[in-house]
Amino acid sequence: MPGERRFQTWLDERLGLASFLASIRATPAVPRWVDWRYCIGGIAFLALLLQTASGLYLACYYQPNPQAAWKSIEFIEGNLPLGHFLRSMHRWGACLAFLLVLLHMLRVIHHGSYRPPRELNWLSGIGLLLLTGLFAISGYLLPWDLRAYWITLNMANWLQSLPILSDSIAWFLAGDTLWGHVPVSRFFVLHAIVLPILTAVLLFFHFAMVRRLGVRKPE
Amino acid sequence: MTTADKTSGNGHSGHPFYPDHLLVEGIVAVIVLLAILLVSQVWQVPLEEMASPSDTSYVPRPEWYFLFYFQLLKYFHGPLIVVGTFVLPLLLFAALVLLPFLDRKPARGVLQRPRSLTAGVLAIAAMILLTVVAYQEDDSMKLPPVTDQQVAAGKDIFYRFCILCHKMDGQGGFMAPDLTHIGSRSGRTYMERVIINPKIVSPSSIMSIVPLSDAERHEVSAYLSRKK
Ligand code: HEC
Ligand code: HEM
Repeated sequence: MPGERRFQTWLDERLGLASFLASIRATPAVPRWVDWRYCIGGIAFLALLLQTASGLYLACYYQPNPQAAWKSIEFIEGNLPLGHFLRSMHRWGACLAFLLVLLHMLRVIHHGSYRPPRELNWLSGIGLLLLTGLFAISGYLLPWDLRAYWITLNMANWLQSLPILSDSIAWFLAGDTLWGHVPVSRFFVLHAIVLPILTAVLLFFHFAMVRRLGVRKPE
Repeated sequence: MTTADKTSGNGHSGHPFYPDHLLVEGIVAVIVLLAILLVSQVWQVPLEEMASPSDTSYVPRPEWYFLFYFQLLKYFHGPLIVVGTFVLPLLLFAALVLLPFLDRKPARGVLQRPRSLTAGVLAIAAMILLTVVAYQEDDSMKLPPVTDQQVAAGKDIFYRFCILCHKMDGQGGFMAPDLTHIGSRSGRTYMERVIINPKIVSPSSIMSIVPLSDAERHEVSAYLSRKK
């Protein structure tokens, strides 16, 4: 056996790569009528990957407490190579992701793809929509600039009116005082750890369903 | 491996997912990627001033995709606010969750579903309308420069309508904050907002809405902004 082949076998015994690649090749043929509109979901996924990349860069320098948060963003913008560019990309990328998710959803509604047997696919999609919104909301607060502060304060005020859970939510948003460090670090954990994990789980399910059921044939 | 059901179009007549379909997807991806790189380079987002609880003149405005909701909330006051913050979102959410269980009929094109089509189009039109209104209200907040004439007229109006509740230079009511030095605390935009909708100070505010014309409102805010 030539060396290259031997290495492949060695790797394959350990990782099962061949069967993985085979399973990708065996993905059912894509029907002829699948046009560019069916790409939107995939591009939304790409947008989330871009957010992960620019977000990881920002997270290396961001400091989740109100005394330092704003300064750390100023530092990112002013002193780091590509800092301002990547921060802009994270912001525009959020817009893009939201837009694409909405367009994808319109596509799904237009084709009536939520109908049986794709209910769970639709429901996981709603979960993803909520998560996208929560990403945006928790991201607002992080730069700790005027806008962040006042929007969060407004939200806390409105949420006071909820018939249930209003106290816990207001406490979560505003911490002991909105001025303390608690809400900033909470939002950061939410934005950079909890939401990404939940999103990954739901996306895995969402894609598995698409693979299992295929896309719906329009009438 | 795939449970190809009747509704799925996965037949043998298509092209392979890999590499054919991935190529189409890849081309769209590259276009979108280039677009976002270009936009991020050309329009770099600014960092606003650092947060400060004392700068109450700031008018927060969310990203465009939440704007319609912010605008919607402005129309609910007092006990009704719960309609905006809870009831409507809950209804929308329930409708989305229940959609696949309510609409189980075999698929038809949207054009054959006039009722869902109308509902969908109306909902989207409402969102667009609210967003446009929100932008326009922001524009109407661009204020004319302060003139002495305005200040004098504003003082008149203040002593007619506002003095009942507010204290000013030692006289006036006691139900509401003393506005003698309001100009050093707040900006004009904030004052204008308060006059239009006192609920932005606090949702439970008891300040009454005084029906002023745009010009009169500008006069009052001009007057107040001089009270340093
Ligand atoms: C019915 C009584 C009442 C009248 C009339 C009234 N206000 Fe008020 N106003 C209040 C109260 C009460 C507050 C405090 C809001 C709160 O926290 O609930 C307030 C708050 C304000 C604030 C914000 C103060 C701050 O420190 O942030 C401004 C500005 C203001 N009013 C301007 C006016 C003007 C201008 C008029 C006349 C056109 C007016 N008000 C008429 C009761 C009134
Ligand atoms: C993070 C956001 C999301 C990503 C990355 C994503 C990704 C995808 C992808 C790649 C597909 C394959 C077909 C296509 O691209 O059109 C798909 C299908 C589907 N998605 Fe999403 N999606 C997201 C959010 C949503 C939302 C918000 C909904 C609706 C509430 C939804 C409902 C569906 C349904 C029902 C299908 C099956 C389509 C069919 O059978 O024609 N998804 N999704």
